[in-house]
Amino acid sequence: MEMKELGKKYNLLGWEEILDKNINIILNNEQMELLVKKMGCAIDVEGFIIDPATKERKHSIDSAEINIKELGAIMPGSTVFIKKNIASFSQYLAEYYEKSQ
Amino acid sequence: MPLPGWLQIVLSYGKKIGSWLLNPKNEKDNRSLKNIDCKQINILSKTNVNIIVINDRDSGNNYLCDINAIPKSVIDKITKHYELERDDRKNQIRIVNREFQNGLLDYEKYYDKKVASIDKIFMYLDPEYKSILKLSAYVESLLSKAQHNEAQKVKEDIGLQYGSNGRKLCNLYLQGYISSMVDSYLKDLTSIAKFKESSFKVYINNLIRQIIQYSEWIFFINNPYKVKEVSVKILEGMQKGILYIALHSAGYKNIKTTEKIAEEVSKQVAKCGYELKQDRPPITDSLCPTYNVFLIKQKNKQ
Repeated sequence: MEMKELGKKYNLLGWEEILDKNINIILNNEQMELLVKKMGCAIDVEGFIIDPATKERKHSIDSAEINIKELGAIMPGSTVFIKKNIASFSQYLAEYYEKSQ
Repeated sequence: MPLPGWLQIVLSYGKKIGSWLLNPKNEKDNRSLKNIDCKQINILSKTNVNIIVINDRDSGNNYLCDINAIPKSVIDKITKHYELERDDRKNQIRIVNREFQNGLLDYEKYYDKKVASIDKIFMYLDPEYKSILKLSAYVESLLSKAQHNEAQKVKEDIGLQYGSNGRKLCNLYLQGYISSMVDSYLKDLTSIAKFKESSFKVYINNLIRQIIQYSEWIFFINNPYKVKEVSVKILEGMQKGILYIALHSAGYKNIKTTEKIAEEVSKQVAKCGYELKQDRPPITDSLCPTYNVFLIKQKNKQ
């Protein structure tokens, strides 16, 4: 089927129509790694997320180094790495959104 | 659960999707994509590793796209979005692991609700205590719905994030210490907090630190606590004149252990100037009996 046919059955949105909204980009482990790299980070040989220029390991909200396998979410605030741990996300909400409480 | 037929067709397009975001026009198919669950996303990502789901949190709509076809300009915009300091949750792009998606959504809904037991003090708490107490209240709500496995997972996460102090504070919350503190001890103090907000903030956070500190003398009897070990510790506390020592147990096995400890220490209670109180609350909805023992230092005695 050509794109014309596709357009008959599906709404086709451009990214500019969605980037200003509240969105979750939902990924599996491999896709997370791919997007982390596209956003300018790198992964070292042990699987930890690093700054490619300085080779320094990035930290999650609990100040510990973060392995790509542990990565649960990336939140703006800026670039806050959250582990696959609900308490890690809770700390993010408490720390970054004090004013909304 | 297999993917619906219309979605199979989308996956067969592969690279032809390009940089578009897809959403079915047909209402039924749209609902089906809206309700796509984690297992289906799992199958989707195994069937075609490039197709990802974009969730609009406000409308609940889901869109499909090819991760490899996202334009560089879009990646740059997302990266710039992340570089900014933010303190609000409006128009927020989140990158979420699908394993974490449901837990994150459920907890955030809970976090935004007021919790009566901590509402009066919540705004004055340090972020760490805000987080631990809100998580503890979440554990309590999961237990009330008999979601024991989920509650246990959250308790483990509290331990991983905050260590033994986090676990202690959670246990103290579940035992009602924090709500009693708020309802009785802090009842009058919160009314003056508005006038002396910064002082009250310092006071309340120090108070919670002390509660955690003295929690050394608050025992939650569980395997592998041993009768002799705990009895010796309690006697040590009584000899030091610790004002308040407590034992809490749930479940028949733990209650039996606590009864033996209480029998052991009761021999020294009067001599050390303490009063021993016991409490057996009615069986809760979770069908788990509980038994509590309190050792309280008597005034003007030893």
